[in-house]
Amino acid sequence: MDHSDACLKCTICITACPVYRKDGAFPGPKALGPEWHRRSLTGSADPMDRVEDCTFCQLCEVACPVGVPVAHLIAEHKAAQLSEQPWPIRVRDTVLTHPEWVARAPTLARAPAPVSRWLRLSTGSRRPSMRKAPVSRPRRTPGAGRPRAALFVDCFDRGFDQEALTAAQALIEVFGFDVRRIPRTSLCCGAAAYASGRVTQAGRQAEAMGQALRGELDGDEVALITLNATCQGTMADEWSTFLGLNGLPVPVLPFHVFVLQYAPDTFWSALAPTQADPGDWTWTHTTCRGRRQGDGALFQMARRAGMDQVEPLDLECCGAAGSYAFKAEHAGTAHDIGRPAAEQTQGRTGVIWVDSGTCAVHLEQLTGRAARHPAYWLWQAWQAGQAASKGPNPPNPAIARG
Amino acid sequence: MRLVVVGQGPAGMLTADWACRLGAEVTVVAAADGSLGLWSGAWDFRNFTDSGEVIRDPWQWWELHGREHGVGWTREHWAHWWTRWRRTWEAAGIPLAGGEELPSHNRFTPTAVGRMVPVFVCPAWQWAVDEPEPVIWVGMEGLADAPIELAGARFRALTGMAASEVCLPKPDAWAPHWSSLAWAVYVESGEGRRWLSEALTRALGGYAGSSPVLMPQVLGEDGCETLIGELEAALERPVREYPLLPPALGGIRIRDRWKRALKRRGVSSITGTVDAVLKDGVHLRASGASLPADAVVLATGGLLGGGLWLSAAGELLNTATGQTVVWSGRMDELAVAGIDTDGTGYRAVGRVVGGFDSDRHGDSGAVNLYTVASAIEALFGKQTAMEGWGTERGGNDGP
Amino acid sequence: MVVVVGAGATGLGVAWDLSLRGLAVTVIEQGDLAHGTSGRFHGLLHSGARYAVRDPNAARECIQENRILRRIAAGSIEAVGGYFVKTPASPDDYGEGWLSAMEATGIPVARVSREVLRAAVPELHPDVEGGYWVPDGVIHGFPLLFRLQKAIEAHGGSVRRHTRLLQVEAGSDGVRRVRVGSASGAEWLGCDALVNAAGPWAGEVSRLFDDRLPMRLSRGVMIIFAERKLAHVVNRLAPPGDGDILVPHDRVTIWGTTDEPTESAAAKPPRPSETRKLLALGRDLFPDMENWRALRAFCGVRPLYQPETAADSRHVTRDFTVIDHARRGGPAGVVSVVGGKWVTFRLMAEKAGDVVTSYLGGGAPSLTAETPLPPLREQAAERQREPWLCECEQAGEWDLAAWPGATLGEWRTRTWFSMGPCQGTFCVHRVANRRLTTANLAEVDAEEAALRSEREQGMQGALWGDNAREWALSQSVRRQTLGERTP
Repeated sequence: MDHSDACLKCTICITACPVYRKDGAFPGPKALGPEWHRRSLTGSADPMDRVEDCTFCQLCEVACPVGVPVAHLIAEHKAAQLSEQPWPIRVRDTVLTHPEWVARAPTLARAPAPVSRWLRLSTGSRRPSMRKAPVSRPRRTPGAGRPRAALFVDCFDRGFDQEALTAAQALIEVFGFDVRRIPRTSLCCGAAAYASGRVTQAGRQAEAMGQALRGELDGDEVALITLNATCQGTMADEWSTFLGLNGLPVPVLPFHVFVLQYAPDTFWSALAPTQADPGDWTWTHTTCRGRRQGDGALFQMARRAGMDQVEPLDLECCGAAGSYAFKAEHAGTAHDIGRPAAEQTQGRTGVIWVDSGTCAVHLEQLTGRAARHPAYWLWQAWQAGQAASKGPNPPNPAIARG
Repeated sequence: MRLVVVGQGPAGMLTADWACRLGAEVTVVAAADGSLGLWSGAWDFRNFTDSGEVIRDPWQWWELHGREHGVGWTREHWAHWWTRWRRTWEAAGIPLAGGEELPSHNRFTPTAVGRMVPVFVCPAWQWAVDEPEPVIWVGMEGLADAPIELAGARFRALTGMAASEVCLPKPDAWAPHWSSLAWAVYVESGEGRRWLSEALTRALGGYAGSSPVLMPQVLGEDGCETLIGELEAALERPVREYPLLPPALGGIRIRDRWKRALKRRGVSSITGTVDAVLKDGVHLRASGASLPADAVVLATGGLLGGGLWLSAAGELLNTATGQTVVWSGRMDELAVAGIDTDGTGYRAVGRVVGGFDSDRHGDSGAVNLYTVASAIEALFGKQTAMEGWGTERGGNDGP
Repeated sequence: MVVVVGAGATGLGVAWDLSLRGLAVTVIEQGDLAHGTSGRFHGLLHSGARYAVRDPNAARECIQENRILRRIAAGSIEAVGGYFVKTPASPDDYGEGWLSAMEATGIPVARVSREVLRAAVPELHPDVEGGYWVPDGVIHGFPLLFRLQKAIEAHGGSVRRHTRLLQVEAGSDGVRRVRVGSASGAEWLGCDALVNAAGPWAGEVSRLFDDRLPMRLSRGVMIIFAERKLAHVVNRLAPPGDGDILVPHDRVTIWGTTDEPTESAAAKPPRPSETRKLLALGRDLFPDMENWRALRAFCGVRPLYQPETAADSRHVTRDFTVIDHARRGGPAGVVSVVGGKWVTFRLMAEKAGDVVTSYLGGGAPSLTAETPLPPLREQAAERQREPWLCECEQAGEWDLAAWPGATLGEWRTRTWFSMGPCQGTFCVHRVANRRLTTANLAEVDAEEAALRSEREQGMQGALWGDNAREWALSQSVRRQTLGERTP
């Protein structure tokens, strides 16, 4: 890996690590990543027994001043200890690193308690439930001359949150685009496997996904728009940098970045506030993996959408980290990491905008506040605006409130 | 004004903060986390003359010698911006020692190895005094970065003052890899608070008098001030920290509090490397996208920060503009080789701007202040820059 | 009593050889062990292949000693194997001559295809044209010397460090006694035979007994990269020249070397222009070498010996010479051993030992080829429960405790602390605190300043890319965080 030898030992990475701050027994990214890597090249370094506690949030990499692929070196380290894992964990992780299976059969997430216990699935972390009432979307037929965009169907939303997908598609159509959802069949970009140290498996999954997407993209789409920061980062960055795969023929953009770039001014002025109460807050959270691109765009979008009281959550990572919070041995740390969100939102009402489905489930459990993908909230604001322009008493959409 | 600030070390954050208060729409573009977490947050104004003697009155030094370094500010001008910086930090929840008063001279602060070095002002949690006095130097078993025997011996040798070294036994939760940050996390937990209070009370039981207790800088993060207050009440002595090597809790506290404040004020950030400064924005290397801006400020630092890159062929490059920097090839010049503006589209601020060697002279705070304030004055006009605080975006906590 | 001057591989080897033959031996050394060339080499355990064409004798000795060292010094040898690699720039006719020379000298060799080569060493340039496997290896020089010291002391010999030879007294019956000086003063030692194994200082030492040796010193610059970049040694398949050897040495990689006549026995730090030139020579073998993280650069001085002058010191034989000074009109009982290579130190010691033994009238044969060296110390489980003082190289209290009373500089070469990517930035103050239990503040300060300066000089020799950033970090930590006021 490029820059694997660049470490200055400056320790900035450990100050960025959410696990290091919560778990005194965790050796931290510097020891598990570059330091272990350097020793491992002599062929005489045993894997360290806490390496699997890394969430693969990659905040260490974002923080590193010299570009050491810290998290990816830790993934390499994890790979070296896979064979030492007990059987139930191997079985569990085989399922968790194939979210495309779960997306096809979402009831897998409802494993009964005895099975969960055997598999060391956390019984304390909330599992995703199906959003039963999809957002309704005006039907449109593809029009000649309209620009085109592709909407990426990630495993979580395919399995559990069709609402977010429908809302996103509707909004992109409002901006004047023709939208197609791809890939048609349930596939995984490889993110979950890489995070667990199953690098070879991640490569295979990514290759299959890449092949499917290249087949379904025409190449004239403005972007492939994603609702999940992890999938976005994996496809836009990891595929080429760490898995040696080709990128995609169109830019892979997070939904909110696409919106800030392509939504016309008339869209923003047509939105209406969705707060049930004028005192309600809008909290924004850019997920850890989204931070590879930066922080603040979600906040800007919420402001631009006319939300008055907007506040970023004081979290760099919420702790969910894909399937991390679902693993019994990590659930405690995952909840500790996300707890500041509960403290910050305590005593106030409002909702959370967050660019990942699993993080939304986790944040809802921690804060008791509704946490959804921004596409969902933006669609609510658009509909409220449409209703307001039609009648004097626009109905407020029902929003779960804490 | 759309302003792009490149870099989020102390100079980048100060620029972003002030520009935001003056009404600019600020985006910070940074390749990494910034350098604040490496340093204690102590603020040097000018510690040493060019030949290495200690300076007690840095104001006077700048008035006498500033012009040789291209700095023509009066004491009043310095004082104006100095006050503004202090209030900016206070608004972000960063308490400074010395309160409202404008320091007239350098004080002294200890290093982890017992040297007393000049300091202009430092965060309230750090020990700083006009004249050394007898102290109790505390370390912890298993915290190798607090070498108290060395510190105590050197402190006695250099100051002639008495120093006692007290080593606290390590707690049960301790693990071999604990850095100062892990210690701080522990010390801030309920269990850690109890451990520290009991261990300190027991260890200091035999010490009469009220000499200050110097603790390694591990007294928690956000709860640091509360923790120090509790310890002072229990021990009936002043309790202050001495700074350690990175991870440096002083800088981490400042970084995290300041970033939170900037985020809430609406400063957004983009992670990325700028490889060209354009007439109307910056070009980002990874995405190949351009970020539009009316003005660009480079706060990319020197060699350490990554703003300068020394190639294997011996060429010195400005990484943000891709331009070669003229350099003599002498090692000592690397510390002062700086990024200068080309007068067309960007301004450079920060520790390593041509002509300063902060490692040698102890002037990093002044270099930050001077370069950032100069950039702000140039961007907004001097009058607006100095009087125009209190805009809607910035909040009304200016002077 | 035999006095040996120099505690490098040669001197310690001679002392070990004589100890095993039952003689009483004292080694005196002006600095610490490995003060000279033995601490400043690329770490290659030569197979002899490098010398097969030009110096078949040296090549035969290399392969013989290579095999012996694998037996007697296991634990300090990495048997990694090496490749001679043909690049488009390699002279076409060199390979054939080299192969027949290899056959003549009996060094094992096996042809490998380009594909096999690139799989074994993926960092190689895609245009390399194939090559040959040879039984090269890696010597961990410092630990091997400490093992030699341990073996000498176990046989009753002594190694007196920081002790200089001041005077040699000889009569018609040969050498009688020598005067040595150290920080605690000067004294006379009885001396039945004297062995000059002072490496680059052998010329200076020979002046003390009025039989000056004409040494031809040559400096070689090497660059250390921070990471083990390859699993095998790589040599350029070409006549010996600058920039032709890359050695994976434990956690680092060493690239060498250059060849420049010098007058100075002390190795002066490399000039940036020298290291940049050396670095550029690696391009056709390792296209990415300039992007590898450099750690430092250093220089070693080859103690070559040649009675008559030659224009280019690379043509001087790398074979060693044992000189019985009585045969040249010098004093009886004085033997110098010069030239040679690390890998042949044992053979040099054996030959010098033969001369000394016969002078003293004994008949004991050399036993070094059959006697394994003692290990330094077993690893202990408690080591894992201690914090590392040096995280880069994982040195902790346990490692320091094995060398009680050591100075900072001695701890450096014995525990390897401060030798990793940060070059001491994050650990020197920690170890200095431990040193205060056996030294006073002034001594600790002086040792620390010396160590800092030694580390910094090495970093400055390879100051580019991320290593330049490391250097800048080190400067800030030292001056601002620790308050060092260095000139």
